Amino acid sequence: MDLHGRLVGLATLFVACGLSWGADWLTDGGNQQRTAWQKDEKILSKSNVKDMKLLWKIHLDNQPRQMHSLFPPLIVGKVNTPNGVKEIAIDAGVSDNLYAIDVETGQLVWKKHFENTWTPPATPVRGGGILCPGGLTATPVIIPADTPGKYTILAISWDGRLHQVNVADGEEIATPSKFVPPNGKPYALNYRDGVIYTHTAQGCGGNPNVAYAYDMPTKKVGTWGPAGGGMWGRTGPALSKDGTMYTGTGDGRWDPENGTFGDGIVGLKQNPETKALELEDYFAPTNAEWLYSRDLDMQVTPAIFDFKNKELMVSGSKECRVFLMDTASIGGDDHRHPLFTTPLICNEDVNFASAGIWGSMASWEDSKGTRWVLTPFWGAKHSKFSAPIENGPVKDGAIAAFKVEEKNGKFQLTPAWISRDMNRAEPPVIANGVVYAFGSGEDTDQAYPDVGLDDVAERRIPGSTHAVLYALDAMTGKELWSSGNEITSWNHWSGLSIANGRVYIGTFDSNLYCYGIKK
Amino acid sequence: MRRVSRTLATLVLLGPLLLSQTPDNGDRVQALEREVQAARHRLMDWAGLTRYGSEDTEIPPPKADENRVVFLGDDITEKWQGPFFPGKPYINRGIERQTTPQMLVRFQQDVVELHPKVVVIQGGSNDLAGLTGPATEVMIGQNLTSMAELAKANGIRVVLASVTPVCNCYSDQTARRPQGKIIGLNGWIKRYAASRGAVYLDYYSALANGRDFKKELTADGLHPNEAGYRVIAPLAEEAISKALAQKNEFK
Repeated sequence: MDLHGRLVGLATLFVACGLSWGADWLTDGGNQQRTAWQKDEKILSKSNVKDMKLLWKIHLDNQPRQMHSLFPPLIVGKVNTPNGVKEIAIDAGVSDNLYAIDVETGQLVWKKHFENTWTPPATPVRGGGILCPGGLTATPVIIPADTPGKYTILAISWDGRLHQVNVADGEEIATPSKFVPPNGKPYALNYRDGVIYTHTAQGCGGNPNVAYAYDMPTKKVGTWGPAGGGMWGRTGPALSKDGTMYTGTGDGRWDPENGTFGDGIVGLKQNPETKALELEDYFAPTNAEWLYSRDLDMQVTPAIFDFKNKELMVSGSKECRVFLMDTASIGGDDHRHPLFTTPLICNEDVNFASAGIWGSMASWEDSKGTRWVLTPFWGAKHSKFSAPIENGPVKDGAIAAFKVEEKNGKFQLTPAWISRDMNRAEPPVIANGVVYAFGSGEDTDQAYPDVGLDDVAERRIPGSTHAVLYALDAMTGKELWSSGNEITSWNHWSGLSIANGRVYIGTFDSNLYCYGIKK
Repeated sequence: MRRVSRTLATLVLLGPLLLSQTPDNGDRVQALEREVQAARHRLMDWAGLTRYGSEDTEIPPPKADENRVVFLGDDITEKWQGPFFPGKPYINRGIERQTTPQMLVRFQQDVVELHPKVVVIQGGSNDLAGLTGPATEVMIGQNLTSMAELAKANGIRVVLASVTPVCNCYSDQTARRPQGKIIGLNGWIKRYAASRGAVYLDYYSALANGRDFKKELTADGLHPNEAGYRVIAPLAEEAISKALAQKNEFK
């Protein structure tokens, strides 16, 4: 492109941005760093969120599989469609479905179902059950195409193929290509500079638990496995500035000398020449052996952010601690000592099923430059943990907020507030001074006094209740609004999305709810 | 366990009534909820494995010349007043209100996995008080025997501490821990230690005046005060030295 062409292109982009609704939510967790912070929200605020109402609800024909149903929708603020410019929500359903919804009207624009090319083997492999539902299990990612207003969805279907779908009309723009083994369980996709990142867990389909990097120009797939413990961070891997993908690893031994990286955090980077995915850095808490013995996985998606000329990262664990790390060296010289570790926030009972941090972290910066870190947690608050502001007793879960501070040359997470009680608090999102969080209402128990371990959907689905969405003051955690009993179903392993004055939450019964301020 | 059942039953029966009552009763409901939570925690972790489990995994293996010692016990060990053998590689694994069956359950995690040369086992007083149900000298002896056998199987020398005395000098302590039963149990521990080549650590004789806890060495008639710990610390050191010097294996 000559100089004139570039100027025209830039001008077109500038105009397009100026006319746009302003905000997108193109990937799970809102951005590559997985901070869950919507920086561009201008409509919903601390002062008007009390007036939030259900704008619309749409039932999608997605069939739940085990306890999975809808994933957090992705939002494109301005899409050129055959019927004009629209703001579109793309919601993925576990039964290999994609749905496009016009967010102004709540009407379905198109539906795409991926035909399955995978034939189950004659000899059964690991599959089925809550942990291995089959189907589409990774929240897709959306990337801008070469022209303004045009966007492409990148999604992995049950058969492991990568699909590239036009947001405007649901048409595939490229032949599906092989990405991951079929019947696996990939987690939310992340994207940067032509590379798609994900990871798998639970050994579904008999496949090893590995991280993947798909190089779009060459279609080469790089992999790396921790050799112990799958990677099941709710919102997939987080990406740092230099393109390293970070993820927590699940239950397994921590023995780096012998190539085993269970119950830790790993940083992996694509080799630009070979496209292989290589181990860059790693960390495990000093009590990793305890985590392994008690099934307290480090399975949380980290959040990465800048602070005082450093790139910091936070993550957590089912044990219920939050770790603050420097991406320059996440565990220090011995890979066992991060910048800071909180005391136990919850999980006094050392419960591997219904307590601890499940999901992903969040982080944002207020107008005064204070950097905040948020973590959801399940179960009761630890009796020895406290924050200056607490919003009532916590029995079933809550959001805990910390300020990132530097004191005497050392970084720390200082407790700031704890939210009200929520029935299984899930990963929050932040927008314009308001934290949106929800209790999923899911029955998370896996073992019962009368029968022992019996982690089956037939037992847990009837035991689940309904989700409740909350809006909290981001400075204090005070409840500003709640959906009360309006959401009639629960969800499992889903999340929130927010853009342009609308907050979205999907439920197990395949309803997508959209909340906002009515005009 | 009976206490747990009683608490749960109380909440079930009285909960609805209390919930409909005054704010004072609201406080009572909250207190009951806390009690149920504590009872639930005990049910989930009856042996107290979560008390030291995480810390245990952070302790590196002992150096070749390290005379590591683990003190396993109850309140008497956990609440050690004054410095706990400064400079010595001694690890305190006492848990308040524990009985010998609970210690037996956590023996592998809190003793064997730490690879000490010596274990000092102190318990039995809370068994006599029935904190985890009725317990007899025979039952306590069986638990102590099992712990000693586990130590033997893992090459760990054994020191068996006596039960400490009680007195009614501040409040009634002898009703739950009859002095005659303490003396009887200590007799069994001493005989067992002698028969198996373990070291008997006699806290009792140093702390008692007749059958009573010396008043100046206890603050409540049950636990030693700082002066009491100053009396028994050298005895523990002496017993450990004796155990380390033993050439004969535990029989």
